[in-house]
Amino acid sequence: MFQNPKKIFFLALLIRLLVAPWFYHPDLKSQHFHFQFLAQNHLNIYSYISQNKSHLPYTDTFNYLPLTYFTFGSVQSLLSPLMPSGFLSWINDWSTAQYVHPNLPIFLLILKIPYLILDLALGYLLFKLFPTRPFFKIWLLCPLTLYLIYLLGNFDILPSFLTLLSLYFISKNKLIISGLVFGLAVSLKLYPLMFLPFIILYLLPKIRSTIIFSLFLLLPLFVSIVPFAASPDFWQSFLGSGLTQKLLELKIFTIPVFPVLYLLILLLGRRLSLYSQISLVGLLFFSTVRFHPQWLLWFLPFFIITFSSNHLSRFLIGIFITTFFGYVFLINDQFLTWGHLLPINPLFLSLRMPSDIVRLRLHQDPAIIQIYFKYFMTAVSALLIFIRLKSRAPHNS
Amino acid sequence: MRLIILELLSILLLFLIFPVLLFTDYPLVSHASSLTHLYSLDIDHPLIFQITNPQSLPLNTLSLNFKNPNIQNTSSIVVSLSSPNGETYQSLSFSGANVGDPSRVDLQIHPLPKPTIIVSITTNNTTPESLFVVTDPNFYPLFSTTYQPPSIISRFKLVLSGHFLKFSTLPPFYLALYFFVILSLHYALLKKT
Repeated sequence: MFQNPKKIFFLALLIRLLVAPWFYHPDLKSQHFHFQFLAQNHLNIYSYISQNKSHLPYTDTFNYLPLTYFTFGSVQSLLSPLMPSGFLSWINDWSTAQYVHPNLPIFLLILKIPYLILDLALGYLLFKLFPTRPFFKIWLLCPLTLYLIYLLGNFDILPSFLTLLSLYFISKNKLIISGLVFGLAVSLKLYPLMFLPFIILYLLPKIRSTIIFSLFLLLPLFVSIVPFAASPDFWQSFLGSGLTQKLLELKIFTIPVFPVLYLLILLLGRRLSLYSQISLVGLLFFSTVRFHPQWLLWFLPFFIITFSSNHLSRFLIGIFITTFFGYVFLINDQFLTWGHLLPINPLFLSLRMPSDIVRLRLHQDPAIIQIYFKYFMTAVSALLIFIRLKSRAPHNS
Repeated sequence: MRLIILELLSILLLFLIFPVLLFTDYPLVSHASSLTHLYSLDIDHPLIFQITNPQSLPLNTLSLNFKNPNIQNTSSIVVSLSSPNGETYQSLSFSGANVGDPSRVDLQIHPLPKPTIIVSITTNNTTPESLFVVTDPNFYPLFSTTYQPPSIISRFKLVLSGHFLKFSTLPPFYLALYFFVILSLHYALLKKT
């Protein structure tokens, strides 16, 4: 069965349909709470929230870029006719009753359908990029993909898909569409900018290609951000998300660690493929930044391409991911552990979190254990980066 | 076939085995209110209220909400559970130092299968307005209780009846469509060609 791509696709679809309705994360709801305002013709979500905060049932600001709002606001409008009754009342209910809404599993399934399409499309893209390698199979059957897309329920799968699609078009030498697609990814979430210097360096020998790519990359950003540039509410909400601050947080003797090591990878990794270089940035990112688990999705396709071919790399990345989960499960957040299962039974919310068990039963501070996990992740990452930089792998992208 | 067994095992684990093994306490009676009041607890002002448990399920935790401003009061607080005719079932005491500003205090009780329980909250605190119980505007405390199903079989029955209720309240069209798609995918996977 695992040799037949069609059967793998059916199996992947089946697993996803079994998982999607029964796992919850509040991010999916809070994002769709904001997306609903597009259907009410509120084009500047930032100002709308700022002006109506006092009487909104959920008062957090919208910390994403305008294109995210317009894209998923439109997606929500398209999905609305498919929803059973009570969707709008559920999305606006922030009391404990929201957890026992009888239609909750159906809401979750329908809201995750766009992610399902993008997830399968990303698998197909891996198949197109590497038809003789098992990467698409790993992507479709890997439990990590299920966790990141269907348990955490975040829209990061869209920029993740667009980033890989852009690299696909680069490999086909279609630089206009590649730049546009990369620009769309950046207009949804800024993190692909971390990959941009590597792409520019890859294209740089051909100055014309670099200019074409860069110009078309700027187009979606320009079109989607300029109308909001004069809105102070936009800047206030958007700058509140703070990825840049997180990248600069870890310092040694006042020197931020991430940018320095990032530059080293940029200089030393030039003969590696783009996928490998991005993977090394991913390892560096998770070792030096206080991360949210969903961010692993940004790098996962690249990790699969880079580390799944070699026994030692596979073993080390396995240790890295296991430690990553050790760290995540000790975060003091019920919705990163048992809380995911509340559509199955709301009593899962009443169970003790692993961090509570560590504190109350083992009398240890979970934060200290997390620091040890982080050290371990850093050590494994350093080893993986070293092995990769020393390898004689050709520039294959 | 191995995949189907794995799939069934995963479903069993998530829907039955985990809930039966992990849910040892089930919600019993509780009292919540969006309007709250702080009842000053001191030696002259104990707080007494009644919990009604008509099915006499074995109540095993009682959670109350207290407020100890700046966690300064270290008086002893005693929570006594007794029958309506004054027979004391159990008494639990703790220090004001264990009460936050504010915090929920969970009290573990030896299972108490009684239909009516009188709860008295007393203290040796002599300073009024220094230690509070969170109540509704009628001075009825906000509380929640749980009970422990007596056996694993009864927990199993509770989990199953919960699932039955969940699936029976899902819209039939969506449920039928969902199962149709799931079964069709199984068919497509099991087909030889």
